[in-house]
Amino acid sequence: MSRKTGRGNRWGLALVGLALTLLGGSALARGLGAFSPDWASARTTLVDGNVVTFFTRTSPWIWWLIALAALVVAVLALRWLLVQGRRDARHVLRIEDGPTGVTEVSESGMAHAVAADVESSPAVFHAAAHLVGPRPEVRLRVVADESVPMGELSRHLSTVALPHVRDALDRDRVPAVARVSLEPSPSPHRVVR
Amino acid sequence: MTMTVPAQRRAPLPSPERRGRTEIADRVVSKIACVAAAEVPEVRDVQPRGLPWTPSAGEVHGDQAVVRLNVSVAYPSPLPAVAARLREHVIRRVAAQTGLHVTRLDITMTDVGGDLP
Repeated sequence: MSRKTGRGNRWGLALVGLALTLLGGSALARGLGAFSPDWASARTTLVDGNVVTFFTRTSPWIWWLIALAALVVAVLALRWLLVQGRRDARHVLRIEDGPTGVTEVSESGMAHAVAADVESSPAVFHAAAHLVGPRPEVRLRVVADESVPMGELSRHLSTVALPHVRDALDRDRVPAVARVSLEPSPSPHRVVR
Repeated sequence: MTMTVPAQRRAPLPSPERRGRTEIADRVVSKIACVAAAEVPEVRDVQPRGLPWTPSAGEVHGDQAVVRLNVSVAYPSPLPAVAARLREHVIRRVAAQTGLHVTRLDITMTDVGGDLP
C-alpha cells in the first residue's frame, strides 16, 4: 500500500464513518421522538404511505436512477480495490546527476547489503538496516549474542560495516544509529547417535 | 553473319554510403549495452530497464542513443566509481559496435550485495 492509498483509505473510512454516524444518530433521534411529531414522529413506521406513494408516483424512472447510483458505487468500490495494490515508487538514493546520466541506488538493496555485512560478524544473530533521507543515515537493528563482549560488536560496526557504507556511497560521513538487543546464544544441540 | 553490337556501359553505381541506410534498432543498442555492462567486474547482473509494454532500455535518435540500465553491484564496492566505469565502458562499446554516440546513460542499482568477484 502506498502512502497515497493509505491517505485515501483514511479519508474514505472517515467519510463512511461520518455518514453512518449521522444516519444512526438521526434514527436514534427519531426513535426517541426528538423530531417534531407532524414531520417524523416516532409513532409512525419508517416505510409509511408517504414513502410508498413517492415510489409509485416516480416509478419507473426512479428505479433507473437507483440502478445508476448502484453502478457508480460499484465502480468506486472496484477502483478502491484496485488502488489497494498500488505501491510507492521505488525509493532510490541519487548518487550522481550529471549531463551523461543519473546514477541511483535502491535504498532497500543498499539496506540489505548493509544488514548482510553486519550479520557477517559471529556476534550477530540477526540484523536489519534502513537507509533514511537524501543524505543517507543508517538505522540498524541488531540482535546480538549476549555472551560475546559488546566491544566485539562495536568494533565490527566501526571498522567493517560502517566503513563499507562510507566507501560504497563515497561519503566521508554517514551517520548511523544501531539499536542492539541481546539474546542468549542457542544451547548447543546434543547429538544422539 | 555476325553483327557487332556496341558495348553497353552500365550506369555507374552510386557511392557506397548512398546505396542504402542502416538503422539500428533500440533493442540492439540495449542488448549491446547490457553485455558491455556485464563486462565490468563489479557488476553482477544487468537487466535492461523497462517491461515489454514500456519504452526499451535503449533509444536511438539519429546517431545518438540514450540507455537506461538496472544493475546489481557487488558490495562493498565504491558505487560512484563503479557507475563511472560502467558508463565509460558502455559508451565506448556501443560506439565501437554501432557507431552511435550514447549521450546519456542512466543507471539504477536495484540490488547491492554479493561478494566481489
